[in-house]
Amino acid sequence: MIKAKSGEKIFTEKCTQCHKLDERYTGPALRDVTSRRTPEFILNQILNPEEMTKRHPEVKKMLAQYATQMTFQNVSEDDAKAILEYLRSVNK
Amino acid sequence: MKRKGIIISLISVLTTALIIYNCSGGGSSSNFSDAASKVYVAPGSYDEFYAFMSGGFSGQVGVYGLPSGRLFKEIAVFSQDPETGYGYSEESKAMLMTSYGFIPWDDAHHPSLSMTNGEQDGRWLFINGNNTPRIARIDLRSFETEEIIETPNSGGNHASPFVTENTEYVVASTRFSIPIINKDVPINTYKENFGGTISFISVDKNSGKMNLAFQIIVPGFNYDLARPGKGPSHGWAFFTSYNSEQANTLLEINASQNDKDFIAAVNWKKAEEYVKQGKAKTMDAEYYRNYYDEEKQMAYSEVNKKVLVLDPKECPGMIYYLPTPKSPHGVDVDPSGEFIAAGGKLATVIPVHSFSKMLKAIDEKKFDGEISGIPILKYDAVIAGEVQDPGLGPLHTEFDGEGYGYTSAFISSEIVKWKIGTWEVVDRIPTYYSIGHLMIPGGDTKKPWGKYVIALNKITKDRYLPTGPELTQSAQLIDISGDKMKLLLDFPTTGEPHYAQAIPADILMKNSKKIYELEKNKNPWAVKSEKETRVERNGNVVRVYLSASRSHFKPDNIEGVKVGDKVYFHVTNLEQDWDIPHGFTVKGLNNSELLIMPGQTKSILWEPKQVGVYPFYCTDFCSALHQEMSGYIRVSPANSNVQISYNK
Repeated sequence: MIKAKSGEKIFTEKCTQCHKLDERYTGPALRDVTSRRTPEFILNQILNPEEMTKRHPEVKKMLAQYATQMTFQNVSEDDAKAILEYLRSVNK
Repeated sequence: MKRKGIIISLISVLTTALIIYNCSGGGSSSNFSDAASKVYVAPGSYDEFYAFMSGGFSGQVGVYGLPSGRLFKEIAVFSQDPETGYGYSEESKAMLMTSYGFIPWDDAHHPSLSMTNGEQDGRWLFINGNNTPRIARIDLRSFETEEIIETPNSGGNHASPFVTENTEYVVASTRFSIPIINKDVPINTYKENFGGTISFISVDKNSGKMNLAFQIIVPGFNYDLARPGKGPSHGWAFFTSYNSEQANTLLEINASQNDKDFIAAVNWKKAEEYVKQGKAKTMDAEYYRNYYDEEKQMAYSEVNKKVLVLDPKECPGMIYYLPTPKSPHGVDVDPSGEFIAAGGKLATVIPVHSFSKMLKAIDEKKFDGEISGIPILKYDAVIAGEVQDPGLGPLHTEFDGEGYGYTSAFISSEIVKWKIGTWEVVDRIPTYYSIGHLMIPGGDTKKPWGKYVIALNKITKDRYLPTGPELTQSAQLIDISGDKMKLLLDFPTTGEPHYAQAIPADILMKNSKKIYELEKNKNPWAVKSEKETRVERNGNVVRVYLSASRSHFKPDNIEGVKVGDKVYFHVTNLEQDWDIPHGFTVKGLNNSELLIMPGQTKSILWEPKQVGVYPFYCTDFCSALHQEMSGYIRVSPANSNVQISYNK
């Protein structure tokens, strides 16, 4: 729960300029992302988005759809895990 | 017979013309492919050295790669830069403040890398502003100007900012003497009223912060260039002077009368002692120190009102004059610290003084009179040797660390290589044309990387495609790894490169900054997320707190601005990955654009003069949807009732 709270803060500061929970913005809406993607996928996408675009066929398709390469936002692995917890907590 | 004779002489004229033509386009390497392979840096590969070249009248510093000669960046230092907003933005304007007000330009001459134990440490680059005397410090993690300090009691800061062995000090002095303190006097009272100063600016070893530690009052000659000592001569610094005639008009003739002028040898450790003993007088002066606070991302000015001044008459043993032929320009200390070579630009030899002989001559009081309390040492007592036939107009010397000096000769357009100790010329190579400074990577330190010498040429004439009356200046890369110097590459340079420095790439690369961390951004106008973006009115001041990320500004529809308002756009780039800058401009902006690095906040003032709707947009092609990264700001009449509003 504490982790989700700190994840929310990081998400607000580092992610909300591109991602909203319920609407498509620069990137996809993320309310249900933890149902659509595995935790590994989400962590990899946060921590190494460029590598994911190169290697993961799904992500390659997303680049064609959204036209903007997701960037690494200078977060630690712990930060990324906190963001994941936050995204789990909002998926209701 | 007669006709044949004419034909033959015609042929010989043609042949001669052909030879002359080849010479003027000359300097071609005998083996092009060999030269090409030595300067070829394959696509995606890195250069071996960073080179920093002064922009001269551009006021900036160019960053090049060696051996390719590719230009990477121009660092804004003394001149406003409309590309980045340097000197225009609210955050950076203070960097260009002086006691003469805001000055948007200077003449930047001599880049100088910081050193530890006489070797490059890759922390800072210093450079002088010659016109309105200043010294700047550039941080080599961000490649941005961090600090600029003015030097008072100076008219033209040319012999600057060369660093001491451990960057204890950077030095400055007066190219043009002026009344000290400056006052309204007839110019022809030069000898009576004009004086010079030599300044020592201390550098904090942790922060780099500069402080004018003390000045030494010296006779009113023109102090030209400088080099602090190293190794055994550490603790001393050497300054050339010309115009020991103290002429105040038509210097080209009147300052070229004496057969010898002087190198001033300053024992700065002794000067430090005198300051500690309280021998320095406190003089009134006004000079600015401007510094950039990286966390606040903001430049601040502080105004200093006092300076400590030492008078050689009251400080015996602090400064000596070394007679040196003739109107010497450069003064360069070899890697061992023993030899001090002068570029006597009107001399027929390169005089090389010996530091150990100088100490002995001081001990034995081998003086030839004195000027204003400064003993003049006997030339024969200090000279180590003279390089004979060094070319016409010798200016500067660098060293390869293998026992050789390389001196540029301006008038005869060549580099002359000579051997330390025997003083014989062992090789020479033409340059195209009129070489000023030359530079060997680390060639002014205890540990040169003696692989290349760069010629910094003033004239290019027929070397490049013509571009109207104004032609490019150029650098020439010359291989010095063998016995014979070999020309490898010509490349154009921006502005007028006076001096340059080069450092192995691996020393700097690993420390190069990639982003500004948002968490550390303490700019008072920053927004840390889109949630914080807003527009606020206070009287006629409107502050727009904008965020930028690919590919939108937040907010992007703003209303309620009126004619006569002062609108400040405070733009924060919310990206946190390398190489994703955003730009900002608005139609009719009388200032420059902004280029904002990831995590950075920059602000620009816009004063709309006419009603209407004004587009603003990102000027840096940031993404596939860059063209969409735009917005509108509505400007209503001064008496309008439209309230501030914006999309949240």
